[in-house]
Amino acid sequence: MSKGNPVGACTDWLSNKGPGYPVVISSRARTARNIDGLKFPTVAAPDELEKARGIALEVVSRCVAEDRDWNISFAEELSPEDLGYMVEEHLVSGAFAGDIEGRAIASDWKEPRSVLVNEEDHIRIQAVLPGAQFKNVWKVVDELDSIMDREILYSFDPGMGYLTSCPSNAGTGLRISAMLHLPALVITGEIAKTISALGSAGIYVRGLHGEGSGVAGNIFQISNRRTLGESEESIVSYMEYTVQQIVDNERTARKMMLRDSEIELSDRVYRALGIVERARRLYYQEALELVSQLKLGLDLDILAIKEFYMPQVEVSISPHHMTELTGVDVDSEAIDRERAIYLRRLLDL
Amino acid sequence: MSIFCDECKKNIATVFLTKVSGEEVSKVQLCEACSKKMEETSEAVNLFAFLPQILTGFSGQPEDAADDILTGALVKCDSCGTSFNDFQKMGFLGCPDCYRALGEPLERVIMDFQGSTGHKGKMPSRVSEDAKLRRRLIDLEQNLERQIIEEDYEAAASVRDKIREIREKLYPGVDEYE
Repeated sequence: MSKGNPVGACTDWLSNKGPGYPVVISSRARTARNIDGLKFPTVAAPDELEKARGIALEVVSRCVAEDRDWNISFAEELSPEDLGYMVEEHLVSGAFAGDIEGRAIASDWKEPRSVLVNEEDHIRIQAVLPGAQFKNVWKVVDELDSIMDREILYSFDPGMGYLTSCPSNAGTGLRISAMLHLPALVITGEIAKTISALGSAGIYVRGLHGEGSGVAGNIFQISNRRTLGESEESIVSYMEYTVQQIVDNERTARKMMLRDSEIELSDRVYRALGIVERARRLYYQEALELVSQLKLGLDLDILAIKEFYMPQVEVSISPHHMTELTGVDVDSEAIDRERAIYLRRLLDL
Repeated sequence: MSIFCDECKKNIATVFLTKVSGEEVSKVQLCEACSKKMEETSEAVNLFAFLPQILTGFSGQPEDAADDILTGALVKCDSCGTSFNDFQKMGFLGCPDCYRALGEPLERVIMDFQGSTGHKGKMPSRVSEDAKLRRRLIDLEQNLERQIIEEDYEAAASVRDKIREIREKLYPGVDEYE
C-alpha cells in the first residue's frame, strides 16, 4: 500500500500468501455483540450512541490497547476519502462509511484485528488472515471477545444467544467468511451451479465488498448464513469444509480448461495482457476483470509476466487508493488514465 | 369473499389480519379506521396483521411462507416502541427486549431463517450458573441420544448419571427417569 490506511490498521493479509493460495485470498471472522440495557445502534438516539461508544472504547483502551499500538478513531473525524480508502481495504463496510454518526473504529497496528463500534451492533470484533485460516482467525476474534466480555455486560438470552440488531446474526453473532478468486468456475459457467448449491447449503455468496456488492474480478465472498443453533466451532469447521470443496472445484475446472481448451484459455489470457499493455484508460471494474485473467494465466503457467498478489493489486487500483497515489480526483476521468499507467508499471509491462 | 370491512361492513377492507385465540386462528379484514380503533384496544394484543410480503428477502420462500405467517402490526416492544411491521420494513430490531416482545411472529421468522431457536455457542462469562447448567444439560442430552443410537451404552450410562446430577441441581426433587 502506498501510505497505509488512515487508522494504521494492520492489513498484512493484503500482501501475504496463506494456505489455499491462489484460490483462497483471505479468511475473516467477526462477532456481533450489544451492550445490555441500551437500544441497538440502528434506532438509538445520538446520546445513546455516544454512551455505547464511550463504554466500548473505554474497555478497548483499558483492557486491549493499553501499552500496545492501537489506533482509536471516531468515524466523524475521518474524511469521506479516508473512509473510502478503508472500505477498499475491507476494514469497514460501505454501510459503516455511509452513516458515521456515533461510530468508531479501534484497530491494532500489528495484528489484523479491529473493533467496530455502533455499526449495526454496538460492538463488532473482526480479524482477517491471509488464505484459509478459519480456526486461527476465529481464535484471534474469540480472544479479543473474551477480554471485552469480562468488562461489558452483553445482551444475551440463553435460548437466542447474543441478541443482535438483525436476528440473522443472533446466537453466536459469528460470521466466518472467505474471499475466493474463482476465474475458472466463472469461465466454464460452473459458478452458477456452485452458487446454487451453496445457497441450499446455507452459505451466502457475495461480491468483493460483501453484502450488497457486485462481483468483480471473479472474486467472491462466501460466509455462513446461520449463526444460531450451531457452536462457533461447528460454524468454523463447516466453512473450512465448504471452502475446501470450492477450492477443489476451482482447481478441477482449471485442469479441465487446460486439458480441453488450452487455445481458448491462452487466447483469453493474452487478449487481457494485450489490453493492459496498450489501453490508455482502464475503469476499475474492467481493470479487475483483466487482472483476474492475468492471474489465471500466471497460475497456469500460460503467461510469463511478473508474479503478483491478487488482493494487493485489487486494492491498489481501487478508486480511493488511486486518488491517494496520484492526487487525481476520485470521480474524474483522469483517474482511469492514471490507472492504466499505474497497472502497467505495477506489473512491469 | 366480501371486500368490505368485517367490523363496520361499510368501508373497503385494506388491512388483513389473522386472529389468534388459543388454538384457534381466524382471518379478519378491516378498513383503516377500524384497524386503528382495534389497535387502541387491549384486544389488539392477539391480533397480527397478515402481510404476504413478510419474508421477502429474508427467507427466500415468500410465496410458501406468506399464507401462514402471522405478523404483528399491532405487536410492539414496550421498551423501544418497535413493532413487527417496523422490523419488516427496516430489517432491524430496536432493542434486546424486542426478542421477547415481538413473540411468535419474530420467532417464526428466526426459525425460518436460522433453522433453530436454541443457542449452542459461547456464553458471556457473567451469565448465571443456572443458565450454564441448562446449556450443559442440552449438550449432554444430545450426546445421550447419539450414544444410544450408536449403541454405546457404557458411555450413555455415564452421561445419564451426569444428566441426573445436573437435573437434581436445577430442579431438586424432580427426576424424569423415575
